[in-house]
Amino acid sequence: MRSVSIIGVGTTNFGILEGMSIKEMAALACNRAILDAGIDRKEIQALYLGNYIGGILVGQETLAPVIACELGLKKSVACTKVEGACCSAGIALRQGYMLIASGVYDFVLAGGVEKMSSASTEKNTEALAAGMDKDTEGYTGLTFPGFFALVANRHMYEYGTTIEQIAMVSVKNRKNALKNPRARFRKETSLEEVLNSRLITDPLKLFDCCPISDGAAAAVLCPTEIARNFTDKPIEIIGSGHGLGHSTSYSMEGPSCAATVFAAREAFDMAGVTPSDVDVAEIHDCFTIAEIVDSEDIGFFERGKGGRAVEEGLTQVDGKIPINTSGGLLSKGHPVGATGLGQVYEIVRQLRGEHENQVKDPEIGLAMNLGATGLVSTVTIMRRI
Amino acid sequence: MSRSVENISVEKCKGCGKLFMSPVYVCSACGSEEFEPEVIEGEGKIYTHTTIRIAPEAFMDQVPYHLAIVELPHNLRLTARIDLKEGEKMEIGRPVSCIRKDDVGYWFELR
Ligand SMILES: [Zn+2]
Repeated sequence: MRSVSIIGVGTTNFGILEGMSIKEMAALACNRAILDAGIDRKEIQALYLGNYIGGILVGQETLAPVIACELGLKKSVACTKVEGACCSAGIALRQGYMLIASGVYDFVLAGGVEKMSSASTEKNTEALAAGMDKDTEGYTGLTFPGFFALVANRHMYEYGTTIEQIAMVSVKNRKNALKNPRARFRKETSLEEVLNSRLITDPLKLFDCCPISDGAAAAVLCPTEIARNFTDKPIEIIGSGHGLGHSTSYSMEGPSCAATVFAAREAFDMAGVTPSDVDVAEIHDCFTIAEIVDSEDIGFFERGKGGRAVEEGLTQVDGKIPINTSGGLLSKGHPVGATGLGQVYEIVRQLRGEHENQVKDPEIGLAMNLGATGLVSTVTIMRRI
Repeated sequence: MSRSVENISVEKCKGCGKLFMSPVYVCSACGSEEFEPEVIEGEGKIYTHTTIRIAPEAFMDQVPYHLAIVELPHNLRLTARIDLKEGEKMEIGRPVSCIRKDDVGYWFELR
């Protein structure tokens, strides 16, 4: 296996991007990644593009080749759309990583995109529910917020996690987003405001939930041995994991997402580092409770201690393990097919030392992207070289 | 007052005897594609729960509705609706009984 590095990243802002089509967003993010890498676009051999509900919400399929034409990629480029619910972009990145690591390609563009704001909340909820197992659980009316509410109640029951600790994730991430021009919400919130916001699916309230958003993000990958031909600050991918959980929420093994546990183990084994070596992380906080569960599944904290860690400030920008310095999905927004690469964009900026909410001199960063009822997860560990 | 408890239809693998919630197409334990219908008693307890207030379009006319993962006999679980009466509250560990089945699956009430 060859070592692989990220040599360029690009993104749109996340939020309500009125008037921007799914094509425009994907094309801009991909183009910015190509320009950031300084690579001749005709060198790119493959495009993996993450997207989840573009077919349902905006009626656009066959996205990857459509975007490749807009970008002016060469006619021998292999274009593939990748879908794994909210983990689509994490998987797209991993496809590119593996094909370079294995020697099949030298230059791959990985992107992700979603257009959500043009549809109503109910229509979005319906489209997102397409990732539920229709045969066994979809017909009950369970939703993804509902799944994380089931997890939250069980986490509080088993570990004594408090509703205040859960709410503190939102307060922290909203504060982190103040400096992030890419975030949808750039206004602080308070514990009282989170706790008094409207119930969505008990015990989760409006401010426990990430906002519907539009957005796109992308990265260009190449073998590490030639990465310095393009950039002074290549970011090496030292670990990549992709795990499977359960297609039904009733199969959950405690308040945890098994897919993340396996993805993290795979990524840490490959990287030869441990969770305590990670200096900065972007993890999948689609709901406040999700960040707590993710932080335990990855191994940053012992099982059941994630809530207390937030309360003790361990996950703040100046904490032991800064989590979601971008503001996370809770503040940036969650354009579901783009999120995984949006996280990688933030980590690359951190490891280059050029983030708006910079952690002090980070060497190792981690991005963790989750899909459906904890069904699929990717973990990417990156290092400044 | 005695209440009638609905049984729950499950499927039993003809290869290894493992029980599954219906429908199942492949036995994840032995690979068999052959199953026979079986019923289990619709008595269980709440593993975890939520009340959905924002729903997909198709369910919007039903909000708020109550959902729980119910622990059943034979180490089976399912996701089901809870028919809460005025003043009742779902709690983890609370015994529940199955009362009916419709388009949204099985319904339980607090025991
Ligand atoms: Zn079997």
